[in-house]
Amino acid sequence: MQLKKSKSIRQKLALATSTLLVAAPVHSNAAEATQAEKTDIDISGLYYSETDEVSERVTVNKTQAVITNQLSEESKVKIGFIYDTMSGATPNGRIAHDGRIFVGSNNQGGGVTVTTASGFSFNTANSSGSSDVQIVPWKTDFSDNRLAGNFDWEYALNNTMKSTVGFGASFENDYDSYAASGKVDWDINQRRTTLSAGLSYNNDTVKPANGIPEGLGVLNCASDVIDLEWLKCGEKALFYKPAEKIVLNYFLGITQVWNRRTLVQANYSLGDESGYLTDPYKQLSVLLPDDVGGEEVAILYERRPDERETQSLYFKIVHLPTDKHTAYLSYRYFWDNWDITAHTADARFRLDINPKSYLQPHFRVSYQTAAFFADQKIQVGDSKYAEKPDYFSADHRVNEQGTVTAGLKYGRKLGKTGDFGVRVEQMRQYYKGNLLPDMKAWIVQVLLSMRY
Amino acid sequence: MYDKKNIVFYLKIFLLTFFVIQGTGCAYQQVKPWHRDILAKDSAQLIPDALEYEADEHIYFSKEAAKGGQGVGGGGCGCN
Repeated sequence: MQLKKSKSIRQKLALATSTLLVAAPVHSNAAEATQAEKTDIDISGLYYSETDEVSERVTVNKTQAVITNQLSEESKVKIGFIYDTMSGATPNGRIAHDGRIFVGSNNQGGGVTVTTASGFSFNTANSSGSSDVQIVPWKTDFSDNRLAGNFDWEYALNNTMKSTVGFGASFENDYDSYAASGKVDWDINQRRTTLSAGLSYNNDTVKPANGIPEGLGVLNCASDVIDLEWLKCGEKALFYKPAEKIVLNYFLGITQVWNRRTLVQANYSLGDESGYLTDPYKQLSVLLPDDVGGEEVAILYERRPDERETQSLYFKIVHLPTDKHTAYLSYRYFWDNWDITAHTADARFRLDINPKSYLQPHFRVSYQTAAFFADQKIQVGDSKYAEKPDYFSADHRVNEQGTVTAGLKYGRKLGKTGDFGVRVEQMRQYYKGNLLPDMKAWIVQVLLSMRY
Repeated sequence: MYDKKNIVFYLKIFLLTFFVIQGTGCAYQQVKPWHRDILAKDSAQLIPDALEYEADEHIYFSKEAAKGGQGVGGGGCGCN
């Protein structure tokens, strides 16, 4: 009799367990947690402003809105809009000094002997006998707008598996991008573990107003002082039609409930990029040897390989040491076949100061090595550049650099279903070689969420 | 000023913290479904605020060579 009772209790427990198993996913978001609230509206306004020791750089204003609707128990859609305005000046790859470049734009006849700031004298006459001196800045002014939209559809295939498909498009004056992605999440091990696999495809078109410049083609050059056989000053860069690039990304991930207060995640990503991977606006300086003044005597357009394979390992921990504190720690190791490796660590710590509001400090640090074709300049007489290089970029983003960010966020609940947040952060970027001044950026973001 | 030593130092501190939390404060337990109350909180999500995450992804994508890691998607601008 007792045995029967025991079995009955076990059966009831099993039933209760199975019910809970269906109802409790590994990591639910707010919309899933409150089925009664079917629509989420999230709005964000971001202000981003860079300066360096010399002057202001890029300013970006970003407005974003996302509407998420739970269509049914199995199906959820998300529609997002982004509008960015970008303006200011960005480093173009030339070395950062008040260097002069000599071009033959004026037909004044003959040449003049010019003494440069560093004391080196030379004649500016070119083959046509004309001469001019032009100060070319090491930063390029730009202004652009970006309009982007995306659509995601999440569908529960069964009790333990869900799929997400997404489409996106982004338009700028000089850049279009179309994207598609798919992802499957599979809960196993009594929903303690979620396995994820995904794929994304981007087809982008680069379309600068003046066309795509010939890689390592001549922008400006002083023919009579150049001593590089492969550099033909008279052969200015050709310009081509808009170019395409294709980016494929593969993703595998595992998320594990580690204990009652800890969630851990590990991901592997593989990216395959092909096509025009060069930045059409980036340039590089050709300098005379230091012993004759080291003046800049030519400017070329940069050139990067047309294939790139990227990989990354990503680890994240979300830990709640108490009910009022949440720590988010992540680390990413990134590497590619351009010889770039990067380490990125990110830490956020949320402190609930009362049931309605919280403070969240943020600290991020990243360091990357240089691509095999990255350098700061080509110096006449350097044996490395005696022959024409296949590729060259002086863009700081593919050179050795470090980035450190620190900031604070304040969040507050609005009513029963709303959230407000504001964060202020400062990012600093440090470049190798000190040919480019350090950069400082302010990031201010206001976030608003409403659930209906 | 660029100082590789400082950056590497920060990274080492971070990694140490990461593994200390993993190794001591967070022993593995087979959590039952009815013990998921704490992890069901809004704050206990891997990405607690999607728009904050997306803004950061965009900023660092346009300023660094490394990208992604948390999922599929991203990119879609001429900023890199």
